Amino acid sequence: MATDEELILEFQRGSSEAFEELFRRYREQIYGFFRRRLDDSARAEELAQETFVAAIRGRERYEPRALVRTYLYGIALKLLAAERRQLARKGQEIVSDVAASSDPDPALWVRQAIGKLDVESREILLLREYEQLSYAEIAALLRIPINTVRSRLFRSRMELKNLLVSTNRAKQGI
Amino acid sequence: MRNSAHLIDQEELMAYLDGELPVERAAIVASHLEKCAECKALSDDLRSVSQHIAAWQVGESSPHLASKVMATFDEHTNSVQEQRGTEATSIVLKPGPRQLRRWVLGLAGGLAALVVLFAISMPNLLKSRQAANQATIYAGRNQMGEGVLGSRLTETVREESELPAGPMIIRTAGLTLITKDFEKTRAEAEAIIRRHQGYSAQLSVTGQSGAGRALSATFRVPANQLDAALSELKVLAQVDQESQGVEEITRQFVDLSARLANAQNTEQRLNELMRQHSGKITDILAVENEISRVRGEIERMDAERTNLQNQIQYATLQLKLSEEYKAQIDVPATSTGTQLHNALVDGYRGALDSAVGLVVSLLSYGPTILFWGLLLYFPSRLVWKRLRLKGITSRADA
Repeated sequence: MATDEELILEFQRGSSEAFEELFRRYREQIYGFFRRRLDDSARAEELAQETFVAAIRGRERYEPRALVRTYLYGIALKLLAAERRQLARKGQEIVSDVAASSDPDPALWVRQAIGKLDVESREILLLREYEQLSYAEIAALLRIPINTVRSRLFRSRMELKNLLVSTNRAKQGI
Repeated sequence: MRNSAHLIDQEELMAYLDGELPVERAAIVASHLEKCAECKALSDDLRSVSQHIAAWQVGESSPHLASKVMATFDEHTNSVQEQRGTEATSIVLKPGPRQLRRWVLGLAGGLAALVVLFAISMPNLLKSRQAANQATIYAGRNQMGEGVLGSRLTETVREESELPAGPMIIRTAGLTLITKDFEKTRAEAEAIIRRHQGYSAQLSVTGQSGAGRALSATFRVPANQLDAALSELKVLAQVDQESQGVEEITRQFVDLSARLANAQNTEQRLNELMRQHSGKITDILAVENEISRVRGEIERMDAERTNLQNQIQYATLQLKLSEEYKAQIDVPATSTGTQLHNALVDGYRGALDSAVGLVVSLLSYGPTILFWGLLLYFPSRLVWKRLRLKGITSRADA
């Protein structure tokens, strides 16, 4: 099985099969990236599409030194930043608190808790937990020191732990 | 965030759970985690948080995403091809007044580019020609030298245009594992490498008292088997670190092949020159030296190319395997009988050593003591006698 890096080099030479395979591997990951950060699923899909379109148009810019997933998430983060700026101008929140009473989602508290974190800590946590990026990859993508990634990730997880404990206590009526 | 009662930082514990610590440090944290209830509780909390976070799953994207992206890909590919096609066919279309002007401008631009190209390449061409002429002066055949030059240039252009069908990639991977059963994991790892037609290029095992054993090995695995081998190795033990890298060497390989072909061509020409030569002996020796130099170059480049091909075909896998260290209870003390026997032997040795030491001291210092004794004996005796006489006379006076 060809690696991502071999596929993207084939893709740079114009192979549509290589691109199809790359798209198949990263389609749900990139969509999930936007879906967890935006309330609007249609907009998340549009941005996932834009990520791949940007990769198609800028395929010459990829260099084999970087991992493909870092390259794709780099594009996705830039598109997300642009979306955030646009939404901020309109006065909207990116990840809003979900209505607790009406949503039967078992992962509701996760969404609520993540929504309470500050933007950068939230981004680090999401990149680690869902996109499974290493500390070094997160540091490179967000352009912050690796120790900052580690300390903020720890703080976010501790905050989530405290929220989890308080949620459990509330359920038990303590 | 370091807890004063702990050597392990809380963030470090989290990094350990995330597989972000170097192997030596990870072994220390793992060992500490087994003993410390507080750290164990924290690690359980962190794992629990990650499990809860994983519960948030988003649905799949709609099929429209695939169709839209693939449509964009096709559109982009077609537009690139159309651009190329337009450039190629625009010459054969009958030009209108505006097209004619563009055509004339294009032609003028092309001519200008040719002039610039000629001006840039002329000095290099002249230099190459001079070099070729110098090589053929030995044989007194200038025209043949020009033939060599022309042939070499043609060969270079032809070789450079021949690119391999696919990218040429050297793959490397690193894997650090921590295991409780060192011997078993090592045997299984070696079996996996053998099963995937790999071999061990280097292997070393180190072990120190007070620490677990560590294996460091470099395996060469067929590139197409690397992923499968890595997947199997990762299940053997706890993965502490994993890394993968690629290096594209397509251009380097093509350049090397072109230079090799040129050198072979040059060698062939020089051999022809030797066969047809009937000049001075110094000229023959000069051409022979040149043939020898070119042959050396060919062999070096050929070896380099074989090495590159080998690196492409076989990926390099660096495996580090560390054993989780468990402290052992000390060996029980020796029996009383053995202790008495050891004491007796030590006592005998001590007595013997002291006796030998006394003899050695007497032999070493005896002559000196004897010499000084003899030297001081008579003056001392004289002094003693005088003192004694003085004492007798004083008692007599009294």
